Amino acid sequence: MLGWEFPPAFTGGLGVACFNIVKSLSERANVHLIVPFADAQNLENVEVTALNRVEEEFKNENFVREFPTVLLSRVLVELSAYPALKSRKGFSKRTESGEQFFKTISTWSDVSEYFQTHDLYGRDILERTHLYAIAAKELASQKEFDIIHAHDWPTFEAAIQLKHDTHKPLVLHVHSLETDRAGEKTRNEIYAIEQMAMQEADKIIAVSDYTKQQIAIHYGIDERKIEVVHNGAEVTARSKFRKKAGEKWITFIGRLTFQKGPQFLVETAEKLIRVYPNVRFIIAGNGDLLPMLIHEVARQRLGKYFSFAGFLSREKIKDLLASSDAYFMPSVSEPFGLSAVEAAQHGTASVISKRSGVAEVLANSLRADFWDTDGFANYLYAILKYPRLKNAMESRSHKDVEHLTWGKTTDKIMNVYNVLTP
Amino acid sequence: MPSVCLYFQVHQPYRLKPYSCFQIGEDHYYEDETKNREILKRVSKKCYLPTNKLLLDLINQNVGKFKIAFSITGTAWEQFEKYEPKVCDSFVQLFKTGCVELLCETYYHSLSFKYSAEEFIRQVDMHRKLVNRLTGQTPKIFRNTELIYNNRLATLINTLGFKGVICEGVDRLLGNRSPNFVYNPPAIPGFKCLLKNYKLSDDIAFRFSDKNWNQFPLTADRFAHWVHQIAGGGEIINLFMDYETFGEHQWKETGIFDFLKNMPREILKHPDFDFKTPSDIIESYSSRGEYDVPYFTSWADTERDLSAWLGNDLQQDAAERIYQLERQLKDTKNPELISSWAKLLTSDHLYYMSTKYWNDGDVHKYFSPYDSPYDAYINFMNIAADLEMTSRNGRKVEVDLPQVSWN
Repeated sequence: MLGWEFPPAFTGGLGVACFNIVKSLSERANVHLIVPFADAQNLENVEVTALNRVEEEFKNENFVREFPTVLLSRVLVELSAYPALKSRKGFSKRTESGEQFFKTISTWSDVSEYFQTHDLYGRDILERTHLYAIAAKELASQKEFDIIHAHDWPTFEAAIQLKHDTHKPLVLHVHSLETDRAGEKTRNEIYAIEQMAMQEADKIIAVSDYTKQQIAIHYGIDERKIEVVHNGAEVTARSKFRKKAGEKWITFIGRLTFQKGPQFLVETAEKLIRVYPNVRFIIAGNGDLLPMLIHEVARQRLGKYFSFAGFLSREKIKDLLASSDAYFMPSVSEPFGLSAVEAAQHGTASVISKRSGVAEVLANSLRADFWDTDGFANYLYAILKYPRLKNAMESRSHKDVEHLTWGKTTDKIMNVYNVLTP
Repeated sequence: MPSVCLYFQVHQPYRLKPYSCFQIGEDHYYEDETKNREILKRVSKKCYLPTNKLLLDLINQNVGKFKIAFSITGTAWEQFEKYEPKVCDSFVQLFKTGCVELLCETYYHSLSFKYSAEEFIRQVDMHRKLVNRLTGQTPKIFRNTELIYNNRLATLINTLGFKGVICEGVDRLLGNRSPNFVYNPPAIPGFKCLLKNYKLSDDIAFRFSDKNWNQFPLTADRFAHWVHQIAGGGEIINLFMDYETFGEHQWKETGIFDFLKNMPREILKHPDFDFKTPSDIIESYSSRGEYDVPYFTSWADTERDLSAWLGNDLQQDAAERIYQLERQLKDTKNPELISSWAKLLTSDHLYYMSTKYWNDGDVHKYFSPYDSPYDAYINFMNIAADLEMTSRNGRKVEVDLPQVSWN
């Protein structure tokens, strides 16, 4: 299993999904997981190799492994689709692009050192994924396994490498696509990595039918190779936290990036406030468009209707959802949208984009096109204004997601494995 | 001598346009004219015009032996006049044959009986005048919206001068008795209830084109055979259904028109059988006992109750909301405002909010112009908010509303 995000290093649904799939899969199979960053793990039937701790782990094995010398040399890139994790407390300073970067890696100790920071999507992202691929190849050569299962593009170079070395069946798990993150017309280097891996893959698991269609349309992959496996949801106790304020809260959770449609968020807010001023938009998340969002809110003098909460812990998210009157997700393209499921678990009514995978499982939500800010505002207005509607949606959407468990998700993943390894 | 009683329901609601919160207080016209015209023209072409013609031919061929009854809602008739007047002409031709009875109901096809006696009586009166204008007769038989019925309804319409009522033959209330007799409500011996034979009615209305039905395909002679089997075990066979069954719910390609064309002849082949209108029936047959209906029944869904319109919180809230505006609207004495309000009482608006089978998708979905029950509710509540605001301001609606043309 090749993963990129894994708690505590995660920025969104990818890390949550990867963790829960591994956990649930461990009851049905032996999993060897390779991730760039993790704390010491104690999961049964799961061997986690975290590159940040790899040197420490090898020390206990009492032998020194070789690591091939790599010279990392690249022009740095900025990925707008991901927030920089290290900059939780502030915004990352932009420096001039085109800056050169050289580094020689020749021991496992160097690898460990390189991955000490859990900034998974820094400007050296392409070097990081390349180094991850080399490390994964070395680690995998020491192991026996039947299936290669890789989560999202940062692990795809490694996945292709492993498939070439071992000829084992390759399963790609697509949680999000570059065409989601950067716009559907994107054809950049990451797109190329994704497409190449998809062509090599024996099976592709898409987190929604929506994503399956996107893969077929934008990557030219035969639909028959793609299986839809919806994400599950952790069963969590509901938070008892309740807000004190008499105003209504509309909550946005997610990275503030192009994909999540922050411009439509502001446009909707402006329209809603005209007809329903007793409202506050709580924005939980970071991202490269956060400054733009704050500027825009200020420019329109809507500051008093907004609270920017930054990136919140799982517990805080629960508290927030428990106090929210509506969950709002105006995404331009949302492969799944795990936080909408979490909102439903906490009995919060949702207004979501039609272009989202979660719409396939959340029948009791209100859906509009991402650009239809009149439609969004009208739906939010209705939830705030008509308590019977809110109540009905809360209890019904809760039922929608009750049957979504990670156990079911992994059952379907096992079915995919079984087809590939009869 | 058993009689077959055919009654067809003709109804079209005024569908509402998409109405967002931004229109509240700004836009006082609620109808989706384009959609209403489009649907009315389509259904006229597929159902009303061809079926009226077929029935006229059947009446002429059978000289006095083939009779039918209709109930046509005020909202449907208004839209015929507005969008497709030739449908009016073809109905009038049918009325002139003397073999067609027109029944009375609430003008706006509403649930007003449950919510407001005053409004119920007003709508019954409006519709009675419409029937009188169209046929020159005062209607004697009442049918309530979707055959919604209970003992209290019988009591009220009896005092309004009606002689009988159309209702559903509900198994749990009939016990081991047959719907194929005339009954009377408790303590009103002179008043008569005509109960729908739902099995035979639904064989035509719902099962006709169902390929999984073991009687598929249904032919007129087989159906007549089933009807004939009732001889000796019943006096009347009440076949009540939506008129849109012919050509709209059951498409022409299913053979429904051929079935209708042959059915009277096949039934009349048995010399003991004839066709009667509801008024003929109450003249010809006496009551065989009491049909006691202490709670609401209807002809909808398998539950045969009010749950299709008032089964969830959204529906109840919307219904209560709109009926709570009655006093305020009527106090404006503005006929245009009152008419805008009354059109919102049409039961279809509540039906669109049903979540009963929504997740499975089915008949409710088929009839709804909305993507979801939530959309139906939100649209309706936004409009109700505007109407409330407008009537409070006593402002006149600044658009040409269609004239109510029953006077």
